[in-house]
Amino acid sequence: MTGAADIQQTQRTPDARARRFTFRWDTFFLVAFVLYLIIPLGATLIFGLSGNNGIDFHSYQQIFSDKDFTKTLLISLELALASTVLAIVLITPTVYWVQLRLPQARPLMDFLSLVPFAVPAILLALGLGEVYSSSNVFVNILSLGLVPLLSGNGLNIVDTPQLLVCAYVIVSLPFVYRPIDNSLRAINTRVLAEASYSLGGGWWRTFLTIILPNILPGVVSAALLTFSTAMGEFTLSSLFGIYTFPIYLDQVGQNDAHKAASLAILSFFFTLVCVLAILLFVGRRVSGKQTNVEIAAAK
Amino acid sequence: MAFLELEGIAKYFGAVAAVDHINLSIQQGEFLTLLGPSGCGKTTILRMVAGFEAPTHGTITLDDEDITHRQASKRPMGMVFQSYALFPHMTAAQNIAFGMQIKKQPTDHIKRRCAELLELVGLGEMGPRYPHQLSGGQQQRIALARALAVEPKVLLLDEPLSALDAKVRVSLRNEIRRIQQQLKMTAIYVTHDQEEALAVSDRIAVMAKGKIEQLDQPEEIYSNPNTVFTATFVGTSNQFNGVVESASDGRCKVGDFILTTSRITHLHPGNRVLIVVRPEEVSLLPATHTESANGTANHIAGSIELRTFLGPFTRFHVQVNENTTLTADVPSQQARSFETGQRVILTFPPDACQVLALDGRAQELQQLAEAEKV
Amino acid sequence: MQIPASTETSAESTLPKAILRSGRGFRLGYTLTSWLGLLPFLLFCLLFELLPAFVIIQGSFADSNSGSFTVNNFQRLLAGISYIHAFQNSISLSLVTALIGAVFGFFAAYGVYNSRANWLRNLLVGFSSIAANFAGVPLAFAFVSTLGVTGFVTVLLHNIFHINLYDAGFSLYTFWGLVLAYVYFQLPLMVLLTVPALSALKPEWREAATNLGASNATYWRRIALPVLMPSLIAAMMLLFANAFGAFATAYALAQGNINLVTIQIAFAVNGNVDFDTGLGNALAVGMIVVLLLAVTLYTAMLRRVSVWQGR
Repeated sequence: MTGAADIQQTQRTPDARARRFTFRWDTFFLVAFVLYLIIPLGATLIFGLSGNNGIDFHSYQQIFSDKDFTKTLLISLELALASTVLAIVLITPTVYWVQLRLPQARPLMDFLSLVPFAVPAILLALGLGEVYSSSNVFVNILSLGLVPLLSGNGLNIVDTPQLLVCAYVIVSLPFVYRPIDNSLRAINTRVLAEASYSLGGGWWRTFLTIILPNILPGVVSAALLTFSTAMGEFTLSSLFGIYTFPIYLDQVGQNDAHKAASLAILSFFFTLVCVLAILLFVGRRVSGKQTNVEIAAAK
Repeated sequence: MAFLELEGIAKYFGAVAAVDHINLSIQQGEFLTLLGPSGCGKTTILRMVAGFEAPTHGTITLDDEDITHRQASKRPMGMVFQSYALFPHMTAAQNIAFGMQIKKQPTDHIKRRCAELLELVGLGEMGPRYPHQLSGGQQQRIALARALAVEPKVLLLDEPLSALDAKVRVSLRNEIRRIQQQLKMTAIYVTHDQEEALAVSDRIAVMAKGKIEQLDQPEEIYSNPNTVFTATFVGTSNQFNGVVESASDGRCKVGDFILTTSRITHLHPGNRVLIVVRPEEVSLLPATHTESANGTANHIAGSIELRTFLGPFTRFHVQVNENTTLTADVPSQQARSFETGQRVILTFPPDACQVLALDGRAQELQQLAEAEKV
Repeated sequence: MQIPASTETSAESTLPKAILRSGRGFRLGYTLTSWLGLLPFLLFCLLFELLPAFVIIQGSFADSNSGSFTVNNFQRLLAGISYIHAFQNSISLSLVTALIGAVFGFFAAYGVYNSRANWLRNLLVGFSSIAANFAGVPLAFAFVSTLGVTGFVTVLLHNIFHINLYDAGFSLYTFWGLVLAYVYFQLPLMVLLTVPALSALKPEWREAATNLGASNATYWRRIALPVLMPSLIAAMMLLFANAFGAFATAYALAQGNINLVTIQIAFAVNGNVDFDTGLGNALAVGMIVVLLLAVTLYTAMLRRVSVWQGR
């Protein structure tokens, strides 16, 4: 816009020159920001690898040969996968439905997706425990009889992995709803759906073959965010007493600082892979702006 | 020296010349339009005058002062943008007041002037409204008032009507012209809409690929285009590719026909030419009409392919041979007797023919203009 | 002639409106069945999001032993020094890290936004995403490895610059150590939230301001910052809520040593034997109130932004 990128231009209006000066300040802060993020990572890497005689992979070896490592990793993977599938399958058609049939429900959806900010994981753990363990008249009525059903003798879900999965879905709700809602808005869903109907397509066919392929970036983004949130979630699993990977991390790390560092690096690489997957798959198809805001899960 | 003088202005982006050494003299109080397709350099010129881009070569002189290298914020210009660019967090009145506040003018003066300007643009009551509470047309009027508030020497308008609905565009362009004339403000107007340009300008500079094709009054641009690009870009036209047979007699061979034009200067027999005839100069005669002996008018036979009623006149598309269709605009009263499929004779006088040289560059530009018309 | 860029709603299809208006009876039935489609999701939210919140609020007004209505829990909360301190600590921790994150994150975001090369900008945004996601137990360990008693940077400072951090009174396992750790994910979160907001600053505003005589400073003071302010405040509220509700990082880093509300609640839940339901719920309600304030301000600011941008 200000025609800076050309070779032959020898004259610059003073405004353009002024802009080049301010450029230096924000570069400074940018560099400081990057350093602040990189230094702990570098330190952790070195710390984890440091032994008596220089680089020592001992702590990594110990970790990989630990039975609990694989056991908890698998448990976390299963839980994360289940949460991701449940979240996508439950929320995507719902958001699509609201977009198409029930726009007046949008404020309700916005509200529901903001509740997890007011009721974070720790409070959810508290609340879920109370809902499903003690019997409560109001609750029984409000839930249309479902809570007693779920917490009764047959299907007691207190502190179960199933409840944990549902909790993970709730915690990830804001980060699933936003990208999918944005994607649906971006592709002018209503018009596409109507075009499909006018050509004879039914509701499911339209959704699966027309809409879904076009919102895939948003869906993938939501899926990967849910997955990485569930993999790293500590609060809920700790309070439910389920032995997941982050719990293992904490147990091992509290006792052995070197192992702690190595595990931290492993976690980091895992997060790296998840986020890169989002950016590679999504970033190329959508104009970076919207997608990136969503990539931030509160822990 | 004119009020605003652009001399040898060029702008290069890398090796590409967006503006290719143009000269422009603008008189005080003149409404000059830069007309052309996107990429022709018109917006770049405007931005160089405003100070947002620096020219690679050339000078800009305003009122005998060289402002080529002056900061944009120090130039006495007011700019109106295509997207209105109203500050969203300020009311209409605050937007208008902004420039005056920067100049540290006294508060009561600012208040008075805001009220005056709001009246001028016909939005007297809208001062306290925010941009998002105003329609597109209203926002653009506020933008105009804001630009005028700083009492600029030149008003710059960058396609101000492109984002508006058709009806609003027509009424607002008349408003802009009225205000400009009332204030005797020098204005440079950029647009790609030739109807707009013809309607409001004192002079039009038709531009293509960084160069000015023709700089003239609207009537001249329309009736006597002197380049192929101008003829194709401005208005609709019938075009004949031909070769000059006799320059003194004004005879050109076009395919199988011979066209009689007025005397051709500047060209010689054998030169390739483009002959342009405006549809409203073409009349229809029934096929039974016989040529009068001493008529010099051109007659071409054909059959009516399509008849479009356009209100005041009716447009006929007449097929002359298998790959030529000509257009005739006939006043609707006279058009009644002609039906689709009817055989007719098209006729137009010699002086309705504009003869233009057709070289390589002209052909290239012709294609460019054609592309824009779709 | 070009087709004008139509502004907003006329672009949206008018067809369904016509259908909806074609008779009240049809419309009523249409809307009712429409709500049915929402049922699975609504039920899910009810069971796992709304009821837990409800139960917490209800439980805070119930006596721990008898279950009868009482405000005793809140009285005890307000009377307990450690609880008050917990709230003070949590709020100040969240405010401090939100402010630090907001201010420095804003400048860093401006740096990212101004990056000329696309690849660099994408790299920085990607990196921010990773860092923002890195909170929790691993982050705590990373900071121990960096600034713990035998941490890499601690040792480096000692050996090379002869500065002994811990002798000088610094400790990672205090409030300010926790601030450092929290800032690690608050900064990138701010960057991720601010870069799109900066992109929404139309270049024409700057040009219009310049054309009207504004200097760079005036532009920022009177146009850019005021326009950005709602987005920035919203972002800060998000940062605040993020820090206030965080548990894992604080727990892994300092366990019982730092008095935070989330830690207190975790103790209340975990201390099974003496589970003081009423008090735990009262604490939770306190948290909800604070968080609701933040979230309300957040939504109000976002609404202002979308109104200004004419959406």
